[in-house]
Amino acid sequence: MSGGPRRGLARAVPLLACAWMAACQTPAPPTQAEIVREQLAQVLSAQVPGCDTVSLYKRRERFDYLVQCASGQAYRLRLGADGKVQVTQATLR
Amino acid sequence: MAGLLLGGAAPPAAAADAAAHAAALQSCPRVSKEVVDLDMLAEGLKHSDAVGLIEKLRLKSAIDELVGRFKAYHRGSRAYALDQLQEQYDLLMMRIAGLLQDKDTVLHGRLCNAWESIWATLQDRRRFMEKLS
Repeated sequence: MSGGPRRGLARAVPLLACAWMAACQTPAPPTQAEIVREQLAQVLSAQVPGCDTVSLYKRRERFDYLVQCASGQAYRLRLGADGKVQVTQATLR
Repeated sequence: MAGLLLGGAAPPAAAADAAAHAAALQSCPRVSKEVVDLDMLAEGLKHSDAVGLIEKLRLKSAIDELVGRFKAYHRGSRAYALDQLQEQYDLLMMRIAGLLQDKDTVLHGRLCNAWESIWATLQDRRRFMEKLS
């Protein structure tokens, strides 16, 4: 058999390099805006059809958002005193 | 966010948040048995007919993910600030409330009543770590 330890090392180095690079490429955590957009879409999808993706949002105050869906529809999403989610169509201007 | 306005400028953030806090969750339905933490809420969801199986799994995963972020926060990570975590928590609770509100009024009432106390536990490092251990 030729090569021996030197050949094993030659194989191991690229493998180790690949493993190191993969470890360095752990995806960054989602940004707050990405998380909020996704969560708003999830809240909305249970209340109104056709808003799987939120393109824009504005937080007016705690529990009160203006949301624009990728479909173009816009909604006001808020929480009532009774803890119920209220969704109303918003007027764009 | 130009063009997404509903008339009138929003009040300054801190005052607005205080006003919203005063307005929301002030008339929660009275319920006999309370939910006191996210685990109890998850357990209630598990047995609720208001939520389908797939959605239950998604909610469980979303709850676990949020708890993981709080865990990281209390261990020193600053990937998300506390006010950002509060927003994530509120939106998760709104998602659950929206699913329950017309279908499981008892669990919805429990969630409504527990909203702020669960938040109080999540944001308090000592209480949060006690819950975990």
